[in-house]
Amino acid sequence: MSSDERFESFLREFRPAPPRGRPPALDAAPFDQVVATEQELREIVGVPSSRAAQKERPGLDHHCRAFIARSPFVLMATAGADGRCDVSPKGDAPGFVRVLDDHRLVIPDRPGNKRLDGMVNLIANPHVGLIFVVPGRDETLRINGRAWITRDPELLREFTVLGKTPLLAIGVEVEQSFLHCAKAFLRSHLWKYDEWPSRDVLPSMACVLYDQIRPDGLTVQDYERDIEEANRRRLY
Amino acid sequence: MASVTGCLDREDVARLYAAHGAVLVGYACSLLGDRMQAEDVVHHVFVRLLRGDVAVREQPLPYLCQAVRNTVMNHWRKHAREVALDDSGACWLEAPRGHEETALAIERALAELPEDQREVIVLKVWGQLSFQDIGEVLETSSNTVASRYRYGLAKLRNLLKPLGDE
Repeated sequence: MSSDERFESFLREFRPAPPRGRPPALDAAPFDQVVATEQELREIVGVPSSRAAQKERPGLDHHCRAFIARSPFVLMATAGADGRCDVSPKGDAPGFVRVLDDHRLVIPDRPGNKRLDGMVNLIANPHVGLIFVVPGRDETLRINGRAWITRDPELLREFTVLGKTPLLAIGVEVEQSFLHCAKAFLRSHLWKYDEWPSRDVLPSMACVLYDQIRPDGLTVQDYERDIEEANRRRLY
Repeated sequence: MASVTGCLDREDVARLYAAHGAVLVGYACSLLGDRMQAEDVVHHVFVRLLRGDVAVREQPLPYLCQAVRNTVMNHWRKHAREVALDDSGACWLEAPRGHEETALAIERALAELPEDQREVIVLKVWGQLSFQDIGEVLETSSNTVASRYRYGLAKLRNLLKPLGDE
């Protein structure tokens, strides 16, 4: 073996590391003309205006606090360890989410369906995205950060409603906050209630569930009764 | 695997990715000095392969290397941030346990070589391509490739001499 060959085989003891992403074959599969890189995306869409780029804040200022205090509804996005995502709505009286200081807020966990998709994700991966909504307002407040599930009794006591204290709360450390522009709401006419469809254009939840599950020995009316009872008696 | 041009199916592409992804990312990384960008380039090439925009033949690696190189040259460099070859953000070589420092030293030494020598070395040592194949990738003669390789390898040995690993 020549000394060049020895040197080559020394170099080959170090191997190129395999790519970290999934093979593109799996990503690109169900659609054609897939945009696969940020570079390509930027070429198509462009870059944000300086105002859009500058509006991010690292914490909660008085505008954010005011928005949260008037918001009865927030969407919480989480992702599991494997990156799979989940979004779930949380709602209560305006101000049900409490701001503790410039970097922390708390969302009480009211009784739900016990699937716990979001909280199970948080245990594996603390990153969280929130969208706060105020009825009638076209802008939303977006907050990204990290979250923990807390059972701190002193904290939970502050969220008591009708004598019921939540068992858990989601504490969020805010890393980024900004107002999201109104366009989606303007285009959708979301708050124009004279344009809302009548409630019965879609089948009731009981009908849908009955249709999907087809339970033995139960009727749609049984489902309707159960759901109505849960909505009336188990909100807190 | 499908020969000549023809559309590859997802499994063909997944197989190619498993077999050559690492070398291609290494090659792109040695050109760009940035692993994230290198992975983006390779991803881009494979997506084009899926769409049938990149042709490969019986021996696919030289064609894939060429596609990576074209993507880097025509597209990435024009738009991407300044290439930082001495940046330790490269990290494309995997080291046997306890030899991480050596891997880093090899990457840094490579980054000090002129690009035309560096890429010949990466393609020959880690891609295990022949001088003729490399010549096709770089669109130059195999003699030129061989001489770049000799010069580059000598320089690399010199740079790595302090390691005394030979």
